[in-house]
Amino acid sequence: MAKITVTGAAKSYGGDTVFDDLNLEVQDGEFLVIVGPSGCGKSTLLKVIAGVEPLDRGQIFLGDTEITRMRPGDRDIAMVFQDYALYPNMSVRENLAFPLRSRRVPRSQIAARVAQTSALLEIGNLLDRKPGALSGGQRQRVALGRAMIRNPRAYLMDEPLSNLDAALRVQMRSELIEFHRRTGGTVIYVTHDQVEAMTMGQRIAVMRAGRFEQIGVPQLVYQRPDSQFVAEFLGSPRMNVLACRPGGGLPVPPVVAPGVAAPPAFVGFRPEAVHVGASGPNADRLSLALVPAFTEHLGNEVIVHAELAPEREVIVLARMDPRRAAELSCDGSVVPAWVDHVDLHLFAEDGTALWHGCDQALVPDAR
Amino acid sequence: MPRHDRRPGLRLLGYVGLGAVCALMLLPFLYMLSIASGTGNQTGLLPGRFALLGNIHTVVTSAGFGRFLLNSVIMSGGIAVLDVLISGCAGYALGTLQFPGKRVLFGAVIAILGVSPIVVVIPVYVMLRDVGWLNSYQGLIVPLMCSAFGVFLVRQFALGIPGSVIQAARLDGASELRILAKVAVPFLRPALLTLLLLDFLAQWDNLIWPLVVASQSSLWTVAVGLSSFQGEHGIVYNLMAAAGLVSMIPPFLLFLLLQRNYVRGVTFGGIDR
Repeated sequence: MAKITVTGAAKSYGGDTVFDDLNLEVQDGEFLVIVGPSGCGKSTLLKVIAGVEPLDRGQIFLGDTEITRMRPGDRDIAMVFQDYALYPNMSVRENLAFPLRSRRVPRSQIAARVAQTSALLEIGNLLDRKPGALSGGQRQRVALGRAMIRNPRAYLMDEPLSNLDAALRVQMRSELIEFHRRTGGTVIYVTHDQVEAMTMGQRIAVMRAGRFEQIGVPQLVYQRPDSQFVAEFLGSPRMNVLACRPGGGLPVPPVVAPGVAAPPAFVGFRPEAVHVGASGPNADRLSLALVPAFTEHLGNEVIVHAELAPEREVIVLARMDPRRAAELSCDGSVVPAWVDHVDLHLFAEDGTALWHGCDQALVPDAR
Repeated sequence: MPRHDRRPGLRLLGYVGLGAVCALMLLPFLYMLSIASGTGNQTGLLPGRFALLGNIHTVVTSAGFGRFLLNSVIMSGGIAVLDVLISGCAGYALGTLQFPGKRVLFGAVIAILGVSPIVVVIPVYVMLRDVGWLNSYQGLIVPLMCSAFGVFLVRQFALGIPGSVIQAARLDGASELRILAKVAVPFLRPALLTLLLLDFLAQWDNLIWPLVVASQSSLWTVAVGLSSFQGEHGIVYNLMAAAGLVSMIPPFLLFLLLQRNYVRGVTFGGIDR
């Protein structure tokens, strides 16, 4: 296993720049998830690291070896593709053996490694089937098997779960985590699904328009987003971000003022931070007047879509306990609500984060 | 054709129409069968005496006919196999690989599609004369062994190969040649077999090229040889028709063999993944 380093990477197709001067360092044995909206360049970055797309400028290292100009087959990196990219004319056995055959591994060794890998992934009973006769989850396992059979120094995974149904995705998610624990391999995992990013990554890298907006431990990126984009991208339902300019928008509680360098333009808070009920005379809270429009019942929780009074032009999302939500009526009446200042985030006009309420809850030394 | 046609009248009309087209196409064939079954120069629609087997026997044992058949198989088969190899590689490259000048090359292939083969007969003849390939198998085969149509057909199919599969094979350490043979060819099989069949059928019927290149009757193909039944034996229609009938057999057998792929090839389907 080895660490992956990308420095000053640039890639464009025709006149369209995908990324320019991109830097990334993935530690040996780390599971890094790159997450971002479609078209942000995350898949292209994987292809460039794999070597199936040439890099325009910059360098890529695997461990201490520079692999920028190496052929993909010589890089010792395996990739799992979104569509699995199995060879449809070959049986599962031949699919698994293909990387070894291509590298001229002796026949007896191939048979042993195929048996070992297929046993590990519990696909031993499928060896004589063609990919067309497999279910999505089985194909996924074969693709994983084909990647791990040659003990590569790193794995690249390009949205490997996006073609599976919801239940299978949850199962394969834990299998992939288990896979990583067992192989100890360096993994770069690309997804647009923020649940996968939050649950699987040891670190996540949020990518936007060819740049990394923030790289860090999932919980920290979720709690202390560096920008409005990261704040809104992670979390479902997304964070409420409302204007709070002086002379219009929401009045920010005075307690936050000392810690903020520039005048904030937007205030953000997550749906779960919204408390329905009168805030009382507490100056540390952000008071809201909401007009519930409709509710989504998810079983264990209710998402309330409410308009912000008095203009009623902005929608605020609130996550509520089903029992409490039952008392709520969507008849157009105004309901008071509040957000504690430790749950607030302030952003500048350009979207940069200025202040996180959660920092106030920590002991200053622990920051 | 609509799958659920609720008007039986329209359906019947369809059958009648298709039947008429079939009959129209079968008529010349039946007429040939009738002539081949007759004696002498009888060219009526119905033979007076049934002598088909005798006529076929006469043709098959006549001097040169076996040679004509062999020459046809060598020329048509050689061209078909070489075209599949060469156009297959070229089409695969144009469809899947990235290299400078690709668009210009593909444009050239398309441009060649528009050139009528008859236009280049004289220059190619002169070139063959200069290298001394007239009256030779290589003269019959080499000028026709790669077709713009073949390159185009295979390229269109190759575009349908998922890029990720080829990329996966590269990451798996396979050489480009191994990728072509083990990964791409199974995807391209319908197109390659279709090309093989179309080439073979077209060259089997090619009259102009062997007529131009081969002046010696030892290199004549069936297409040329058939017309010789006029010259050598007077106009012997029944033998000529019988020879035509026999000459239909090899391409017919090949068609039967490759028919399923042919249908898949021309409808541009891929293989199931």
